[in-house]
Amino acid sequence: MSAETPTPPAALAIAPARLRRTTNLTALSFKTTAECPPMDGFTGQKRALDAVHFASRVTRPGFNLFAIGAPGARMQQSVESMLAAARADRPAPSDWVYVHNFAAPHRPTAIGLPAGRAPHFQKAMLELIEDLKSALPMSFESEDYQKRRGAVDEVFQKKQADAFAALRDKAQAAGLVLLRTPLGFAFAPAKNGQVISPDEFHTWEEAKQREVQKNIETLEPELEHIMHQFPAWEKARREEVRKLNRDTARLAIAPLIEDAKAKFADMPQVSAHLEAVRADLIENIGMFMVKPEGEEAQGAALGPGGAFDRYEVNVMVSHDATATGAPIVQEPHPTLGHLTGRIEYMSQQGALLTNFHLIKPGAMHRANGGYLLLDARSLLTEPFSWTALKRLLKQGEIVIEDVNHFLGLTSTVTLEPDPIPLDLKIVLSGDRMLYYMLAMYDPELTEHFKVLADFEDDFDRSQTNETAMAHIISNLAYEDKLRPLDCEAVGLIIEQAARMAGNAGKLSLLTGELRDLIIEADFRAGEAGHTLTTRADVQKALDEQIRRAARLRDRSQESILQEIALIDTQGARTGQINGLSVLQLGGFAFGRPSRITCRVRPGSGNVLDIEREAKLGGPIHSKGVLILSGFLAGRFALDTPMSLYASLVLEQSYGGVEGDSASSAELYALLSALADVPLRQDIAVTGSINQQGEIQAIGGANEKIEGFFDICAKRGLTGTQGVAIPKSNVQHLMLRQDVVQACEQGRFTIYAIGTADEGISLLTGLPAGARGADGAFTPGSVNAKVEDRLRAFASIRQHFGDSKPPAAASEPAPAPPPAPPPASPPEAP
Amino acid sequence: MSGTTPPFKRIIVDMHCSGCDRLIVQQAAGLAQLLQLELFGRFFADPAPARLAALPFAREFRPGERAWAPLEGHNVSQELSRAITAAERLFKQMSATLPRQFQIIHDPAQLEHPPNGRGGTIAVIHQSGYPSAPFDQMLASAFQIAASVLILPSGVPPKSGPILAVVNGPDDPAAGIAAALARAAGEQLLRLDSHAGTAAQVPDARLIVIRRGTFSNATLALIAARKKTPVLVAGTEPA
Repeated sequence: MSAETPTPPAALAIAPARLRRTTNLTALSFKTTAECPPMDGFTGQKRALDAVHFASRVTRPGFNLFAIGAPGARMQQSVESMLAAARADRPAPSDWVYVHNFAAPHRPTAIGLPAGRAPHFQKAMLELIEDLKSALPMSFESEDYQKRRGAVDEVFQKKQADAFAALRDKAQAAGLVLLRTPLGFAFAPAKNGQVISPDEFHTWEEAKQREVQKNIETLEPELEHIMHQFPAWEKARREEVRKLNRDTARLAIAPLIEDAKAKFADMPQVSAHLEAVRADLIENIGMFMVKPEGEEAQGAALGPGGAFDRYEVNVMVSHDATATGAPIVQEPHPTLGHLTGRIEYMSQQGALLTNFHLIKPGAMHRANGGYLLLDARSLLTEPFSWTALKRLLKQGEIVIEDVNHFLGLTSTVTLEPDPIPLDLKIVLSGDRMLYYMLAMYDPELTEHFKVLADFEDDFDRSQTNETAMAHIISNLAYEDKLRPLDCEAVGLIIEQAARMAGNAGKLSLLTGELRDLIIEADFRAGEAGHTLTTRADVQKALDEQIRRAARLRDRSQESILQEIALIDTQGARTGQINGLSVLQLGGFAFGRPSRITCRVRPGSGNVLDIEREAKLGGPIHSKGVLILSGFLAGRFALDTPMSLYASLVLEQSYGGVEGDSASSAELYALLSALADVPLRQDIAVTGSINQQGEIQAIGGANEKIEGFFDICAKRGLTGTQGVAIPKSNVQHLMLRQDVVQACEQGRFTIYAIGTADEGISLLTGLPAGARGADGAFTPGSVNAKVEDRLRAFASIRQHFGDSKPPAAASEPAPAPPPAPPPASPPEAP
Repeated sequence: MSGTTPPFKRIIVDMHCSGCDRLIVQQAAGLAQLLQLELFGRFFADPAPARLAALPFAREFRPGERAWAPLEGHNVSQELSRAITAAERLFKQMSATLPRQFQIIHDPAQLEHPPNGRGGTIAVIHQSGYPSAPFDQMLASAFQIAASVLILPSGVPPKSGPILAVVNGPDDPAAGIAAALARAAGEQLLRLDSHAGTAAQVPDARLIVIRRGTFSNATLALIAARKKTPVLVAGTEPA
């Protein structure tokens, strides 16, 4: 195609068949999905599959998995399905229990048991306690015990009585009696066993009186000694009773403990614990006794937190011994407590107390020996959870931490349970941005998550993959127990998958969105009384999805149709063009035209981006405008200084503008203004441009085309209207069927533009112009007009301030209105 | 067991032993209430301490203070008066609805010869405080003044529960006494053959009734102590 002649629009028009790639229904070998076997969601995910396969089998620490992908990719379900296959290769992990630590009660002991044995251990201990409750009282009520106990009491009583009797005898021999006074004991002189009267005493000789007194003084220390011995005797009695109790308890407990030990003979830790139980029982036998004398009351042992609790077993995690395979656990709410376990408290008489029974397992306990699936965002938004997870992975053991305690929120006594060895594969899933940010800001990430499973968003749209997608659709309907879909409905969903991928040659793997569509189509089918979900039901679902979300789009279009937002869809205007932008709100994207205008005058060579000046333009948009300067500088009037002042603006843009997809349109507006050539308003333009004048691909081509089409259609299609898109975007086209239909009928046209010359030629109807042998552009071409104008600007600038106008500075015909005198030039020369 | 009228007329409780133990008087009064007996309270105002106090070297060892203190006449008299007053007050308080007598005894010989004789009398002994004599001796002394003895344990006895008759054969009068007590108390009557088990296997009860001679004195003491239950040892002499 030559730049010396205008490019015929038809040469640039894209054939309607290329505007939407339809599904090859003949290749789908089923009439409905009922005949189509469901397929797992692994299609197109080989890279991620291999990563999961590797991570699930490598046993070294740190090889945990981080699955990333777009929301809706259903990564966690996919990973879980893949792990389900891998779990069978791993043995069922150990059960874990906490028991009382008799040596250090604040540090409960963790005991690991073979899978399925923890409940047996728990039951055995409960039975032991119940047996002790009956066996111990029986032992203590036995004839043998009672005899021995009676003997101990008797010895004590006899010792007391004998001591008093001996003292009484001594007193009697000395002519005295031992009296019980109101407040104690005293010796008194006696005759015939009766205390003598004072009168008689005074009749005695003084020597006899002294002898009596001496006898009393001799016996008094003995009385005192006996009285002082009473507490010691009572203490000795209690000791004797305790020893007897211990011996009796030891005999009663031994067979029960030995029975329990026999059941767990293969577990040394259990045997050791039972020995500790035995020792503790012997020392605390009183709690089992009914109304024990000199021992603690039974009440303390009853109820939660009672004394018997210490012999019980807190099963943290138990696995079915008959089932094989490692556990796969998902924790949707990974708070620190839910993740690593927690220590609970109970209120007793206003105080918060805890014991090993109140240790609650977390997801890491349940998943230990298998796989734990966590959502990365949920994990990171929970305080302490991420750091705790890393810490435990580094330590290789599960340590239950009481966050309230180390934050100082509670000051009550807490526990430091034994750590439990960690043998766990963590699978985090999240979006890519989260992963990349985490990798940037947390260097420990790659230390603990060495395997990355990057799930594809889409896969190539080959015939094979269309069939695979049909199977995925069938699977989605099957999983949700929906109506079968007919072949045409499947075809439309496949086309929608391509539309979601933003590429006619790709199919989206974001099955979450497809599932939503299928569910809604099923609902529409139900409303219509269909037994199968048809293409019409799917189309209805699509239309309704758009209608629900399109209020802003409709208001935007309404403002254009009412000429509040000024958009021309016919005629031609100089320095004005319809650009296209995409607005994405709440997951719904729509295109809308925006008027771009340009004004030029002599200046210092700058193209002014008003958006940037007003701080409404993003950096990429500003970059696109700056590229225009480069393009102009490299193409036109190379032998003269660039003496242009141009201003570009997106009219009626009140929000931020970002992206460079309008840069080609801005160039066309600039060239139009310089060449003073009007541009067609019935063609909207999108595409970015480089300094060589090549048009580059942009995003959202489908939405942009449809946005302009909707406006034109509502005003009435003229047959000349259309949209110019980059040639490299043609492969992405999956346009709405009404747009395709209009193109087929010649009422609307999509043009594929490769260069700025093609674009300007299409929009002006003039040749773009190429430099001839003389170095000049084709006379009358757009480029020639631009160059002439730039040279004129340079001349004006060169002779600004001279008394007579420059002879060579004549404006090309038709001459633009003379520039006003630069009384206040926008920029200093 | 229909329960014949028990052959009791009064309960003697010595208020001078171990001070005025409220629980002991209360239990004695409770039994008297059940059987509609007279409660006979005795306080032995021993004159010996007062005589001793008149001697120049008299002093007493006070276990509570674990020290010796001079024994002064007026103090002894005051303490004795206080003790008598307190005992009488307690006795009257506990026996307000009962036929009763309170006697202050000055002659020790009177202690061994109560005015109404042994028949139909229940003497109360208990196992608390400093032993004035071995249990055997206490029991023997009690049987000198009463045909039957109520042995009270230390500590708080059960307030409810069955009345247990430990019988030695079908004609054991303990069964009739226990039945009458159970009826009066509105409690269940339990009957246990004395040959069926050991003393230690006696079930829990509110009161145990045993005919004198069924068990040895040591066994009776053991039952009262281990079961924390009052034991009424019924004599066979006619009222």
